[in-house]
Amino acid sequence: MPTEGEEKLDPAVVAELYLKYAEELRAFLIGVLRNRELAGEALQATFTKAMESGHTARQETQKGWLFRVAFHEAMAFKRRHKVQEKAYWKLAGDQKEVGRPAEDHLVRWEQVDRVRVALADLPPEQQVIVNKRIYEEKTFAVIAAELNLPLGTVLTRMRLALKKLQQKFHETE
Amino acid sequence: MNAHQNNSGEPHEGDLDWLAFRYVSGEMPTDEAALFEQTLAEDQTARDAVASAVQLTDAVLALAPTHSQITQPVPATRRNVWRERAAWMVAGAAAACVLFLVSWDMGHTPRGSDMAISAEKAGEINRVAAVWSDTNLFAQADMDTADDDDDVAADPLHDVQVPGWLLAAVCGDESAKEKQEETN
Repeated sequence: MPTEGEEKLDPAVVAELYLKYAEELRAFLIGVLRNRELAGEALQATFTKAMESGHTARQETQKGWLFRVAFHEAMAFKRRHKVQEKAYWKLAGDQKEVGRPAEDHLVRWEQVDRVRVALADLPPEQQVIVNKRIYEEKTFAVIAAELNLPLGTVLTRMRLALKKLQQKFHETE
Repeated sequence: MNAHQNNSGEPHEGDLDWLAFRYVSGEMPTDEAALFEQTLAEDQTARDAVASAVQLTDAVLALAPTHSQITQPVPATRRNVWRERAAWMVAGAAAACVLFLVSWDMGHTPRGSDMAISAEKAGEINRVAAVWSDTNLFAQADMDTADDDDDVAADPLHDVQVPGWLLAAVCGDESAKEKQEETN
């Protein structure tokens, strides 16, 4: 029977897991919490749990285990802090005064560059929707009204644009 | 039915990215978001899609022009040009005053009483100049706060205009007269 000390995950293993998954986990937590500060706290809590009971996860499922723990931490934070349901880029806009989103190292510059190329390659009618949705922070309903288009058309254009951007974003991964 | 399925019960096979994007962007109704969160509790692919949606959005946002570039490119340039002009005007006026005082002093052999008056006058001039300078800087500080322009705070000569009475106090009545004549 393992002693209490042996039950804990080796700190070196936790450090390795952190290096491997922290970036992705943070992005996931931001997506769920829409609050960078809370996402950082939830990330810490996740790795604290990993130290304490990460040994229960099989090595091949460690990523899934970490994300599951992170999700439960995020939901607990959400309940505790009554996190507002605001859009992610609204949150990113709030952060403009303290730093650009890319400085959070959630994205690599080569990915940003690929997205820049993909954005430029989008048909103009899709570019308009992306700009209005992400930079101007308008809802799809408002965009549809502004462009005098059916909501379905706006959604389809955004969806197609997103698909192309995602393809480019993950190109070398 | 989970969030991977649409109303007809068909799976949203290729739509996970779209669902994640709508979830992250707050474009998902509350009940659908709750359903999607159930999926997130079970499905690593969905969790990956959420992380990916945030990373992609970050990448797109990183390409956006900066806040300052959007809000105030042209007015800032105009203000800078005006500030530069004002600084040169003040520097010119100060140099003219110094030259005038030097030439005036050289043209007069001071007597004892003149010396006393000069010292008294110099003290008065300094005091008036300091009061005006402080007042002007306080006024500038107020304007800076209203403008919310960082460059302005660093430049004490912002929008400086030399009032006639200060010119008269520093340079004497003669220079004020000269200025008046020039104006006319």
